[in-house]
Amino acid sequence: MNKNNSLPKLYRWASFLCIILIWTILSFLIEHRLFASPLSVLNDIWYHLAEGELIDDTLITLARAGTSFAIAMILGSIIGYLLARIKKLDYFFDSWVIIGLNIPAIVLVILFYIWLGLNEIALISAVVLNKIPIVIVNIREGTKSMDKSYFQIAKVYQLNNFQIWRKIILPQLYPYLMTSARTGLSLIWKIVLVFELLGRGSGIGFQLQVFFQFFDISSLLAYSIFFMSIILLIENYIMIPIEKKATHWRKL
Amino acid sequence: MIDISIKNLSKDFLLPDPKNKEQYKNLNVMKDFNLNIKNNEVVALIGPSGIGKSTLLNILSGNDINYKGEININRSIENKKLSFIFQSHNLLPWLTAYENIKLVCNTESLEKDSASQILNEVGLEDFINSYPNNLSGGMKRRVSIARAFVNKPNILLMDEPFVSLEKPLANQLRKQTISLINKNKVTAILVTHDLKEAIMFADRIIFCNNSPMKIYLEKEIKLNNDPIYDNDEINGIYQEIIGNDSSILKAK
Repeated sequence: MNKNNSLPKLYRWASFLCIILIWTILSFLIEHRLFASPLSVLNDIWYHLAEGELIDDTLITLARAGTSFAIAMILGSIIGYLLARIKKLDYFFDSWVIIGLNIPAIVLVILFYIWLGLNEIALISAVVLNKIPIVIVNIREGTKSMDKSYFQIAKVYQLNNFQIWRKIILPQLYPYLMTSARTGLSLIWKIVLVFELLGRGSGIGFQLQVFFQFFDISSLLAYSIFFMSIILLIENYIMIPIEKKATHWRKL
Repeated sequence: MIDISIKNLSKDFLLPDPKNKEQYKNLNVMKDFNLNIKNNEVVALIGPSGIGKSTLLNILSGNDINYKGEININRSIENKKLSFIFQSHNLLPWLTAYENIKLVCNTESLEKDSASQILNEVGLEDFINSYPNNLSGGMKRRVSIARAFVNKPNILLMDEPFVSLEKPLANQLRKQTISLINKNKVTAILVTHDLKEAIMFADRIIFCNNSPMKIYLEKEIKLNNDPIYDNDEINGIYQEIIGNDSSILKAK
């Protein structure tokens, strides 16, 4: 095994074990039902998994987050690209984007729940509107900073549109798309939980609200830690490998 | 037979007025510029920086379409194939040397796997799967030369292709490029500031002056020996040109 490769992993695991150790010691010292120990949280994860509700709620929340994420990424990328390419559109919509960036997420969801009712469409619309401005700004800047000299090659050698998109435009936009995707994922799942807590009858956010009402800290942490682990798995096994594949040439 | 005919070419640029940043002023780079280039002729354009030599190449390559005048490229050449060696190598960093060349290949070149053949020809057979980041400056330049010749072009445009290279490397690449030009029997335009380089490459050297660009001297070149930078024959012609008209020094 390569020593240099194994060293960061070793430190990460040591750091993780350190957190568990501090948490365990604190739970022994405080010894209060509102400060659950790691063991009781682990027991609760197992219990809720065995009951099946944790899996169901996780899938519901992931479906909401995934749908919102996909819509926001697709629409945001298209709009961002168009704003960068058509100056007049950019001048017109720039202030809209700035307003979109600064509207508090909570305001949007309250408005949508009032206008559209406490349903999936209202939740997803609010999440999408929260995320879209960030994608637009990223892709707009990425498109503006594309190297024009590469388009000279396309012109001289008469590349077709498919080749231009696949070999010239998208490789230059990948870093911006990946930044949008990764920041988007971390933002969206947190917003979805809050919005579920406010107005839905299912999902992780809704369950957290129930546990809050019963002061069931152990279950609350069990749900939170399980869901965070799923997001970390998505980040580590889907997002990071895609990013590495798309930008592998940079590290050579 | 005339291969490229340029009639009454005029080109303006809008530049910010140094006296008033809010305003733009018109810079007339070319006005009624005329030039005919014969089939298989290599023409070198020499002149001070910023007079519009590169602009002329951009117009001929189709990268600049905002001009007035007439450009005729002999239609008797079936499937007119145009190539460009840019001032910088302009290789796509996310593609390997082979992929960079394959991208511009036409159907015929793809069938014959001309990309591999031309890379062998320029001595890069061991680097076909290397990314530009892993190639030296000279190797990148060789890939860009290989790219220019992969489709066996009829017309080749070269915009200071050997600038900022060390002398031995520049000489090696000049020799390689001249050999490819002769082998492929192309009509070529070379933009350069180096009179000796122009003598090596060109059948005719055109000296230009600025504002707007106009031809003030043409010199036919006939070499008896192999073109080698700084050899007695090249130095002799160089001295002859400089000696005849000291004002040519302005165009160096």
